[in-house]
Amino acid sequence: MTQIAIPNIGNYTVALATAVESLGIKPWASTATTPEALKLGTEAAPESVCLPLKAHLGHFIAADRAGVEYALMVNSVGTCRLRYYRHMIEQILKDLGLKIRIFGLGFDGFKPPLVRHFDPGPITFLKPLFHAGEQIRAIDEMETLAWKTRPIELAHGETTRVMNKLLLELSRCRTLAESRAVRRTTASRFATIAVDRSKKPLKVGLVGEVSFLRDKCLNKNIEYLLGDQGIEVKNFFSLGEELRNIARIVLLNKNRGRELLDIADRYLQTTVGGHALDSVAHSIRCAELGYDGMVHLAPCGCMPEVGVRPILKRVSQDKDIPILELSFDEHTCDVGITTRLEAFADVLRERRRKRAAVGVS
Amino acid sequence: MSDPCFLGIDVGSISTNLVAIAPGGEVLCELYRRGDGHPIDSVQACLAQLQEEAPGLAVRGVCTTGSGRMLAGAVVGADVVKNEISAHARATLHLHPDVRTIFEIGGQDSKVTVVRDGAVVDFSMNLVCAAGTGSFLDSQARRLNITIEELSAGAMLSQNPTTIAGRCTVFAESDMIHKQQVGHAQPDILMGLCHALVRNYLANVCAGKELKSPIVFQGGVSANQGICRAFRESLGCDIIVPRHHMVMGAYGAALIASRTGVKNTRYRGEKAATHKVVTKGFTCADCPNHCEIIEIRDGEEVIGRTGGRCGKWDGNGGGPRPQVDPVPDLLEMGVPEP
Amino acid sequence: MFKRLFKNAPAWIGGAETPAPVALRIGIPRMFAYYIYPALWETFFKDLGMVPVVSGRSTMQTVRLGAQISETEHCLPNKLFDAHLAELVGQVDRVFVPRVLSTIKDHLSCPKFGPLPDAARAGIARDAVVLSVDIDETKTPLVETLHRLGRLLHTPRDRAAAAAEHGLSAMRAAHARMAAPLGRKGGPRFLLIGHPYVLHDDFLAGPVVQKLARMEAEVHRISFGDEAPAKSHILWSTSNKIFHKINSLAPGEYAGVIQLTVFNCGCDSMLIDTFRRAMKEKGVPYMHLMVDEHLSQSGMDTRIEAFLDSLAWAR
Repeated sequence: MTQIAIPNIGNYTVALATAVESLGIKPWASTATTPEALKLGTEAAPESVCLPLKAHLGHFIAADRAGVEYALMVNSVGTCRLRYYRHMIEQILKDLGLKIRIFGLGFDGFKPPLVRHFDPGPITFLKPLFHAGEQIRAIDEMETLAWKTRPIELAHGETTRVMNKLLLELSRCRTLAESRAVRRTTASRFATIAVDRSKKPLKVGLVGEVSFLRDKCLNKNIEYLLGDQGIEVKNFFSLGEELRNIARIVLLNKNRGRELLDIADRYLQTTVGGHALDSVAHSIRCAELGYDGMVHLAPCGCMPEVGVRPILKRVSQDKDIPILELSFDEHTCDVGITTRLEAFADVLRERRRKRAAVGVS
Repeated sequence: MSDPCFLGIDVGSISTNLVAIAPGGEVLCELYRRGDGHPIDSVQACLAQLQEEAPGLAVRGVCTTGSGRMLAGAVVGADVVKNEISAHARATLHLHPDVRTIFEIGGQDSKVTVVRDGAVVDFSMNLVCAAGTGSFLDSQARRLNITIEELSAGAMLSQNPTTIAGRCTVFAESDMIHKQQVGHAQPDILMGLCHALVRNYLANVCAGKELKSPIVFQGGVSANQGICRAFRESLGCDIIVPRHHMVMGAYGAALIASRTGVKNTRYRGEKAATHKVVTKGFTCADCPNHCEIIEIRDGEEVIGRTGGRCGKWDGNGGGPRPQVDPVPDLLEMGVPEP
Repeated sequence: MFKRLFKNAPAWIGGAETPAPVALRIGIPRMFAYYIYPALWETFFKDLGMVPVVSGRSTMQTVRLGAQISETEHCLPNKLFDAHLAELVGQVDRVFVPRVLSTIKDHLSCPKFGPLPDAARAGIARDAVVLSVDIDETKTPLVETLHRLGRLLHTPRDRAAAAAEHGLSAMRAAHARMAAPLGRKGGPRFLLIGHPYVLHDDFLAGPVVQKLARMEAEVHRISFGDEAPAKSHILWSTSNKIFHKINSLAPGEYAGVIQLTVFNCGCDSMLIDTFRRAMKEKGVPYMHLMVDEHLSQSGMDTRIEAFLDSLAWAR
C-alpha cells in the first residue's frame, strides 16, 4: 500500500492522518517530531536556518528511511522563510539522494496535486475532508477541556490520561459518525475527572510560531509543564479556527486579520507574516480579559516573531501583563525551559497575591 | 544534643553547594564544592562534610535547587524542589530587602532578576550561548595558562584595559590571541576579558530590562574582582556582593525549606550520604517524544525518576504516581487492512 | 494683526509672507530605507522645506550601542538600525521610519521591515514622533506614495509632486553613483553581492571594499537601480535581484564574486545555498563572507587574501 508522510501538527495530526487514510493511502505520521528525526534534520540542514525547517526535513528523511514514497507539506504563501521550505527541503532531499516525493498541501489548480495524483473521484475526495473537519472540531474541544481541567485535577496525570485515551479512540474512527460519537462523549469523559473547584488557577496564554505552539517535541510539552504547575493555559493556535478563517476568506471575503489589526491598532498596523500579528493582538486581548501572563514561543531568530518582540515588551508594560519570551533552537534543553517556566509561575503567583492584598481584582 | 536546622542544596553545572541554617535564618554551615561531573557523588560528599563540620544537626527540612535539582532531590529526599531563580531571589531578599536588581552569573547559566517592592517581577536567563557566563572566563584562563584567581587578581592591576571583541568563546579567543600578538600587556588583556563578559551579559541577558540600583551581584563569578570592577565601570554605580555570595542559591533553598512549614521531613538522613545510589536510563517508547528516563535507585528501591515530559514517570521517591496511558503513536498504527 | 493671526497657518493659506516658521527637522536613520532608496528622502524633505538630518556613519560605537539597546536575536543590520534611530531621537522633531513592504512589483521585502515603525514607536523612539508611510510598490507606485507622504506633512499638492519628481531623479543619479566601480581601474574585476544596506554600510562592507581596493582590484557592487528582475521562486526583492544577477553573469565578466551576508539574516540563511549552487553552475569563483558584530579587519584580510591567492593559483 502506498505510504505518505504527513507533517506534525501536534494532536491535529490525528485528523490529517484520518483524511489521508480515507483516500486509501497509509499515513506515516506522529503527533510530535521524534528526537531522532530532529537530529537527522539538524545534520542535513544548513546551521542558520530556523528550527521548524530542521524538524520538517528530519521527519521526511526518517520517512524515506522507513520506505515511505510520498510526503505531504503545507504550501505557505507568507512573507517569511516558511515560503521557501518546500524548495529547500526538496533540494536537500535530492542532494542526499533520497527518493521521497513531496506534495504541497494547498490548492494548485482546481484539485490539490495530491488528489490529482491519486485521483480518488469527487465523492471519495469530499468525504475525508468532512471527516477530518469533525475530528479537528473534536480535538479542539478536548484540548480546551484539558487546559481547564489539568491545573485543578486531584489525581496527578488524570487529565492527560483521559485526553490520550480520547485521542486514541478518535484515531481509530473510520467513519464520520464514529468520530462524531467520540466528540459527543468528550465533555462527559472530562467530567469524570475529580477536580478541586475551589482552586482559582493562574491563566496564561500561549502565542507565537505555529509549530512551536503545536509540536510537543519542539515546545518541550509546555502545555503539560504549565498545567502541572496549576496554570490554566490557552493555546492561541487552533487549526479549526484557522480553517474557519480560510472558509470566511473564500466564501465571505472576510479576514480575521482585519479584526486582529483593530485589536493591535496602536501597537502594530501590519500583518507582518507568520503569526506575529496574532501574538501581539492576543497578548493585548488577554491583558484585557484578565489573564495573568503570556508565554511567547519562537524559534531562535524567527523573522516575524523576533520583529514584534519590542512591541510585545511595550504591550507588557502598558497593559501590565508579564510576557515570557522563549526562544528555542536545537540545543535548547528541557531543564532550562522548566526553570524559566517555574520561575515565571512564581512571579505570576506573587503578583496575584500582591494584587489581592491591595484589593485590585 | 541536636540543633534543628534546614538544608539547602544547589546542584549547578560546575559546583554543588550546601547551606545549613537555623530556623531563624542564620547560617550554620556553608559548603562550596566544585563538581567533577558526578552530581550524586558531589551531593553525598557535601552531606558527609556537613557531618564532619557541624555534627549533631537535626534536619527538619530540605530543599534542592539548581539544574540538577530533581536528581539531588531524589538522592537526599527533598521536601521542596525549587527553581534556582526563585531560590536566589529568596536569599537576596533576605539579606538585602531593598534590592531591585539581582545579577547572578554561574558556570553555564547567567540570569538577571528584576525585583520591585520585595517581589520578583521579571527575570531573564541566557540563551544557549556561553558568552555571559563563567565558563567563558574559565576557557580564556585555560588558554592563558593561569588560574581563575590569577585572572581576577591580574585584571585589577590593569591601567588601560584593551577591548576584546567576542560574542562567543571562539571569537573572543581569536581576538585575544590577536591582542597578545600585537603586544598588549597581560593585565590589560585580562581586564579586557572581564569587560567582554560584562558587555555580553548586559547585552544578551539584561537586554530590555530596567536595571535599577541597589544591584546585588552573586553566583560563582561574583568572587572575581575583575568582573565586579567591570560592572562598576560599565554601569557607573556600585554593586553589592552579598555575604555568602558563592552559595546564595543553596542559602535561598534553605530559607525556602524553613518557610514551607514541613511537618515530617522526607530527608533520608544518614542513608542519603552513605548509601550507594545508582542510576539507570531507559527510553520510554509510549509516545513520539521518546523521552530518556533516568531511574534513581538505592539498592532495589526506586527513589526517583527524572527526564519524562508527560508526568507519567514523575515522582520524587514518594511511590509511583498514577500511570498515564500512551499517546497514540500513529507510526505504529497505520490503517487496518480491509 | 493679520500676520499674527496667520503665524501658525500653513503656507498655502498665505502664511508664505509671514516669517517662515522654524523648519521641521526630520531624522533619517542611515540604514534600510536610506540605502534602498538612496538620496530620495533627503532631497524630498529638503524640497518640502524641511531639514533632513541623517544619522552618522556606522562605526564600532554604533555596533556596540545596537548590541546594548536592540533585541538580542535581531539580525546585525536591524541592530545597527536601532542604534542609528537612537542617535536621532531627541535631536529632531520627527524620525522617519517608512514601512517598506514591497520595493518591486509582485515582490516582498524582508518580513522584518513590516513591524519596523511600530517597533520603533514601542521601543527606541517611544519619546519621539515617528513619521511613517507604507511603501508597497506592488499596490502603489513609489511616486504616489511620495504624494501621500506630502499630504501627511500638509504640503500643497504641486509642491509635493515637484519634490517627488526631484527626489526620484536624485535617487536614479545616486543609484548610478553607487554602482560605479571602486578601487584601481583596470585591475581584476570583482563583484560584491548582498543587500544594498549591507554593501554600502561603512561598518559592514567597509573593510572588504578597502581590502580589495588595497589589493588593486576593481570592485563592482551589484546595482539595485535597474529594472525589475524576472520572476522566480524567490519572492524577496533584493534576494531575487541577486539571484537574477548571478544567473545573467557573462563568462569571464568578473574574476570573482564575493557575497557579503550578515549574522542572523533570515533571507540569507535560506538562500545562500541557492546562490552558491547557481555560482557553481556558472563556474565563477565565489566566496561567501559573513559579517558579524565582532568583525575584525585582520580576519577579513586573511580570507580575502586567501581567496585572491586561490584565484592566482587556479590561473
